[in-house]
Amino acid sequence: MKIDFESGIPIYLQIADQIEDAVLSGIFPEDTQVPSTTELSTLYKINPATVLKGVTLLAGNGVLYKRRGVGMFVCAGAKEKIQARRKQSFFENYVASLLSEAEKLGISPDEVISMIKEGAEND
Amino acid sequence: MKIKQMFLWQLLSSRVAFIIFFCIITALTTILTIVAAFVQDGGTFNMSAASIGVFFLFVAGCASFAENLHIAFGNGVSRRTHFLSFLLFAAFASALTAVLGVLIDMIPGLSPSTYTPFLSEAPGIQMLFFFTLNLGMMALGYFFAGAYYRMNKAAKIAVSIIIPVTAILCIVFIMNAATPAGPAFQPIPQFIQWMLHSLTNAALFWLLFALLFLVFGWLVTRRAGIRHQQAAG
Amino acid sequence: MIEVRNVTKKFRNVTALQGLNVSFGENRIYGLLGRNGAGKSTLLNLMTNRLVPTEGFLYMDGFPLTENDKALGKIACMGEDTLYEPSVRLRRIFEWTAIFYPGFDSAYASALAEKFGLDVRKKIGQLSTGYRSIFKLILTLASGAEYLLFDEPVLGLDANHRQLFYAELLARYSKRPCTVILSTHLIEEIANLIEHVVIIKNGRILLDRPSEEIQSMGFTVSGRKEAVEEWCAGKNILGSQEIGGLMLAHILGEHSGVPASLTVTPLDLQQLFIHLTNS
Repeated sequence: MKIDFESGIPIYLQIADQIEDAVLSGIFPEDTQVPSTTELSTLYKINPATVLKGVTLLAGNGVLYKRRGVGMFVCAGAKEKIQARRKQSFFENYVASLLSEAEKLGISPDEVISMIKEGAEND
Repeated sequence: MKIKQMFLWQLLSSRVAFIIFFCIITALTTILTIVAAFVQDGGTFNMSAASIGVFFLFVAGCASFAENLHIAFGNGVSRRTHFLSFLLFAAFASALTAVLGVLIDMIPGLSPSTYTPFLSEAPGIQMLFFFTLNLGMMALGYFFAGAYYRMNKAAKIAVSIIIPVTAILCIVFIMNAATPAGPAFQPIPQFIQWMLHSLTNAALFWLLFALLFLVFGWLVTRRAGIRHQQAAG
Repeated sequence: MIEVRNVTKKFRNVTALQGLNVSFGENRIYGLLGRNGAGKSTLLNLMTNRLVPTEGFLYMDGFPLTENDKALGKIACMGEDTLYEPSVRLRRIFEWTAIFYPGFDSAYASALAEKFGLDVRKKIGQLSTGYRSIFKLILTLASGAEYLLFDEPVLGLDANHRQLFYAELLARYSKRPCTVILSTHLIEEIANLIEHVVIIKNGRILLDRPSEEIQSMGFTVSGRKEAVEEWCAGKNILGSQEIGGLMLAHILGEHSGVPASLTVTPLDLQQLFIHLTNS
């Protein structure tokens, strides 16, 4: 996990994204505890309020839930929820920008598709 | 109010100095008494522990300003509490030193008849006298240290020269005045006569002296700030 | 809450603070920023009763703060001055601090000393600048006070110890909420730590805002020099930098209508500070 302080993306969003990434990749399975606000804030040397904002965001999205006096846990089905939401934004975030960059470079959509296929085979 | 804590701190930080001082004085007095007892023609000797205690407390008073004030600053204690705790400690230390000093002075009384006491009045009166004198000297020391702390460099140098010179002039003046001089100086020898007349009178004088310098001491404490800062701006 | 109302502090002929108004609320981490000699230390010394204001008043939860033992007991301050005699042993000072601060946590202080590699059997006079800072940091962190004030907390500390301090500060803050005021000119290190920024310049408050708002206060545009100059004309420019034909301009205000030929990046606290406090 790494926070980019220079990127201009609000830090609480980065925190939320990082936790989501970890859930997606299975680092935090369902119903396991995620690091506490204190742990995250001391790890990254950022204000606990900022971390809390990110965590609260995830709690609102149904990714995390709170167990009183214990901490925050990953919700059942959190992974699917994140995947569904990220798929929605995948087009805007990646495909649209890919196509616009390709256009600047004079690469046709067909060429892009064949490049993607090639990339998938090599992977 | 953190008077209790400040008082406790002063006790803790100065206890070693006090214990060493009293041990040395007691040891010296006892040894000299024994020596005097063995030497037949020893003549009189008198160390007057109580009088030495007065000088010790003057030094203790001087040391009571800056360090204590910094402790107060460092630990969220106001100047007022700092000053009141000094008052309490000064009274305690003065009384303790006076009582112990007079008691130690009674040790030579055990030695041969050649011994003549420094002061002939009753121990109680002696203790009262030394208590007020101690208090006066501690207050004076505190005031000196406080005034010195508050001064800037130029003032410090000026005072370092002026005070000793004035003191010497005063001593010369009083010595001259004590011997019969012109009528204009009559009140001074009269006053000295009055003071020497009895220890109670002297105690009264030193009590007033102590009160005066405690007031001065408060004046230099009232708005004292941390030193270092002034250069930094 | 500590309130500073119309406070002026003069040292003979130097005016360190001029009619200053600021307040520090509960359970928040503040950054008190300013260039050397701006009056940061003077302000902290006034808040801890180490100096008496020439004019104005300070309050703690509505009660006068100056000369008030009860209010002062809620504040622990690590100042630039070492208030102990050089011949005193650190262990002894821990004992003394415990007398004055009932909430002083001796076990925590010892644990911190161990983490920082500070030998408490040493005397103050034997410590290097860095370890003197560390010692004062530990005293303040372990004091149990509700307001922790730090004046140049990382003075003389190496990178490892600086990171350790920030981590310990956050841990202490999470465990027992308190108001923290970090006075420093090392802005980058604390930029993400603080929730509220107070910038002081020439004894006056220049800026007093939540950190969140700082980013939206302005932005940086970069691009070809002519393009940047043309677009920036008439805007509130904080400052600019040029590298060859490339130009960066830091601008106050909302960013809208920036042409695609220019790149917009957020304004960081450091840039804002440098340009605001440049005379």
